[in-house]
Amino acid sequence: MLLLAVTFTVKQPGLAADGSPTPTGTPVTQQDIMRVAATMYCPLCVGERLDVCEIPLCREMKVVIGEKLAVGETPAQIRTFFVKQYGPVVLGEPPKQGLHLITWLLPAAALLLIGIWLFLRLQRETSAPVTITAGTPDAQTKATGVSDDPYLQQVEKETEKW
Amino acid sequence: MLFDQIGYVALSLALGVSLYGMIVGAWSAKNGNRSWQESARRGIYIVTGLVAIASAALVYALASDDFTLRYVVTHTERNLPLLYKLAAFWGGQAGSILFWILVLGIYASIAARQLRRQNQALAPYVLSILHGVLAFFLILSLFAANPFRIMNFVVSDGQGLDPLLQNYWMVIHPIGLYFGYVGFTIPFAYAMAALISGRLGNAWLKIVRRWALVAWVALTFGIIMGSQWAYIELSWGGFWGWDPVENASLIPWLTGTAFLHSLIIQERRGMLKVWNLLLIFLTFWLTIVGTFLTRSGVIESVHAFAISNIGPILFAFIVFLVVSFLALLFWRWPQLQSEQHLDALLSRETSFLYNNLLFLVIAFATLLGTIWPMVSEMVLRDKLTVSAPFFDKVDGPAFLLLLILMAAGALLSWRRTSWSTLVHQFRWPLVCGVIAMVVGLVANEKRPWLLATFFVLALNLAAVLQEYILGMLARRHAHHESVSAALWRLFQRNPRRYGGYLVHIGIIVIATAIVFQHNYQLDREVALMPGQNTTIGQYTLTYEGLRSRTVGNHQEIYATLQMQRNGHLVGILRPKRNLYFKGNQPVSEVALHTTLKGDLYAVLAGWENGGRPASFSLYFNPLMIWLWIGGYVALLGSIVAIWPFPRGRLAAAAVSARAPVRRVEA
Amino acid sequence: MNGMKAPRRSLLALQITAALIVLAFLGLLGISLFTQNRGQRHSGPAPDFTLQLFNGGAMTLSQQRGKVVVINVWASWCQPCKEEARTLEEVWQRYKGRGDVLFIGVNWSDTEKQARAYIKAYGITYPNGPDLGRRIGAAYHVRGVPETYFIDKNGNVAEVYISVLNANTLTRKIDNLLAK
Repeated sequence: MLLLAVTFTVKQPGLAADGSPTPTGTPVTQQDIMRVAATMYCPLCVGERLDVCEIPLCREMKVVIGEKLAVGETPAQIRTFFVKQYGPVVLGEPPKQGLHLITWLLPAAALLLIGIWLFLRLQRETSAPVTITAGTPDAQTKATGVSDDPYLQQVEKETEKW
Repeated sequence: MLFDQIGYVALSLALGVSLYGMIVGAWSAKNGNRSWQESARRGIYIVTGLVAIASAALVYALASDDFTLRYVVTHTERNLPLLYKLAAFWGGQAGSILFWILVLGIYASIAARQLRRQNQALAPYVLSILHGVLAFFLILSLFAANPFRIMNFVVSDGQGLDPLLQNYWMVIHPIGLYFGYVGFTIPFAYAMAALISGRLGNAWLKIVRRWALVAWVALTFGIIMGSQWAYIELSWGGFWGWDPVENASLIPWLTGTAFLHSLIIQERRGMLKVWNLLLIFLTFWLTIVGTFLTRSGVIESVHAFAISNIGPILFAFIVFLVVSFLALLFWRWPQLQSEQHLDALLSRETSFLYNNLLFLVIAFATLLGTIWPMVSEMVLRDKLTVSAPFFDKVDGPAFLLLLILMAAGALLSWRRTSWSTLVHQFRWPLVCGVIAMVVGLVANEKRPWLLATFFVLALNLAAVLQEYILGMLARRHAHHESVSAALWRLFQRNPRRYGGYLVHIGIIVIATAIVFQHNYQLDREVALMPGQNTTIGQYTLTYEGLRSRTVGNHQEIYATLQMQRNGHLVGILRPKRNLYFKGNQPVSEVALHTTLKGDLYAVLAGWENGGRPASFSLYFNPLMIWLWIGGYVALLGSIVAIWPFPRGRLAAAAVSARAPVRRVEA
Repeated sequence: MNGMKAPRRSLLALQITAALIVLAFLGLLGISLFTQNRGQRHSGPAPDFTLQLFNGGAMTLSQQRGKVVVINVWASWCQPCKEEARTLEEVWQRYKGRGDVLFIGVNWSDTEKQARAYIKAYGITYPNGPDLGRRIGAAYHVRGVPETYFIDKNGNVAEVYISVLNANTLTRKIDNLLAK
């Protein structure tokens, strides 16, 4: 029981855990703070979300979030403030500017360009005359009809070989 | 004392034998000498045996608290439970590399056994390559991450294992991951053997297919179990943090999955030879790149091992691999041309090609996001964290597209799909998709992309179920079998196809669970005095108080929460904090209440005055258990796909029952 | 997707593209591998910065040419920083009258309220300001706190000290730089 004497808590001084009104009229709860904190990342640790991070800096940052919410700042304003304080590391994603845009655009661009290239390529290829080499699996299946219903035949074919 | 020497000597001998095997294998490939080839083949067993001896020595040292070994000191302590002492084998850098070699040895031995008679043309190349990879990792172990290093001063107790690793999922999930990563070595060896020897027919593909599936199953298993570990141990209410170590397992999984699809096209149509070689190489290479990224210290990660000097050696290996592969590929290019063309745009082949493209783009985006913090800090001087906010936005939509292609792949026919077949195939799945969307609308979901997701998920599920039903009906029609017999025959006749669909069902279930967990998670942050209660979803939780007790190597502090649903007591939750005597941070142990509808997930966030009040982070994760269920369905499906059903007899029976059909090896 | 028959010219283009992508990727990995263990900046011209001070005004490093500048990087949550805080202030009091020595406190990865409370608690009088966006930290490759950078009269980094400073060490280092 001795260790229970150790206090281990995310203390939120100066805010209305007891529900006292703030300038905006609504009390700021721990829940509100955590919701905002969950959209950001710890500046010092690696990949740890602010709401679950328990190092002293993160606790203080959560206090700051509470204070800012209490004076009516929006989550977006708070994020901007933290980026100014600690750099883009708090965003948990590359900022959408400058060279960082590479990460946002390159995968989509690759998908689009290769996708279109592939489409054109396939279109050209499929419009070429069809040649079926004898002895390939496909040529063989052509020869095996088991049912008159073309659909059933197809299903049969598919279940037969694949 | 003695064991470190045994281990060290065994590893050194193993290196000698593997170098010998590599050379002798190459030599026999050159002059076709069967006895040299046999010597290289047996060399694999000897290397594996020696590595097993070294592993046994390390495990014994760990279990017996032999604190003369540095590795034992830094990864265990006297009163660590035995299970975790054993798990420390793969819990640290040096040990896990030895474990990697052991797994590679096991795989290589099985491959060597198969090579007694089969695939003699490829055998010397495969053996030489396997010896080469073994030799590389042995060098890594002996010269950069030796688990048998001696402490140069005497200690009475070890430093203990990271408390986060003291969890049963943590004990087993690395096994899955290592078997997955390492498993891709065998397909790689075969692909390279085919490339070097110029025997690029479909022979190598047949054997590679099964090996790739085995590795894929292990990797999938490892990823799912790793997520379960993260879910219950990292206590943030989620299961996948997009951490570099997690990404390093996802990236080869993506390319490996792409390969499992595209190889079907090569088998059926003789196309995409280069592409398949590339994918199998890429998958293997990415396991090594991922290992490099997460272990050399170039990227920081929560799970990262301590920085060591394995970086340069791994880097050299990465460069060597890619340079030699590209050189070989370009050299063999003329022999790699397709025999056939695609017939129609609207065909299963096309959907597979686009599925491959998407898998690769997702893998690329994930790799890019993973290494971007490194690039950013180096080039732009911006320290970054790239995590869920990025991957959700970039990988998320791509996964949705992939799900669309998954349905298309199941519904389109090979070669070409006529409009009538198209309508016939798509009508019911489309109806199901629309129903799902309407249900979403009725449930007051207005976000269009979520409605689209519901549509795609239902479309997929219906498409796969339709495949089973139509297949079964066709068999009933043709062979007059009962429903269950017809279904059973489907699996027996074509385990890969119908096992594959089972995997698809698993994936759909997983995707559904992820979508729900992601978008409908409830969360609540509260501070409670004893006797006070709070509600989350349908649950009312009453805080009863905080207690503590000593367990083994730590002190447990736990809160008791009485859990009621609709006024009925359904159980007690005990979220905990463990204060390890060898650590300084209290480690959170979540309390879970799992139902088919979702998990109630409670974290003890903090306390004051001995628990008056205590604060909690509570989450309700809808459909969470389905994520694991889906995972195990997918596993079952892939095991069905690998399972060697006795096919000859069945095929004969089928032939006698109706019009003669020439069986074609699937 | 390249399994289909490709004309020779596009094949060459493909090969070159593949080689370039691979080369770029390997280059990145290689460079980061061999620069990852670069330590804090310990020599060469000191990267310039302008610090917005807590008690108003700003201070630009390059305008302090001719002075020995001691840059102490700290944070209020850092225990070792607290151990050396009084020493730094004491030594500053000894040198501040001379005019050719300047102490600058760079508050790194901290919150303003806590930082101000710290400055007050330890009675720190030398100029102090937050490292906004942690640009200074990035320029000097700061890895943790406390770290103390010694800048000579010519504006070069003379030395970096990574652990807790005591008065003797600090005085000796400053005197050495003054003597040069």
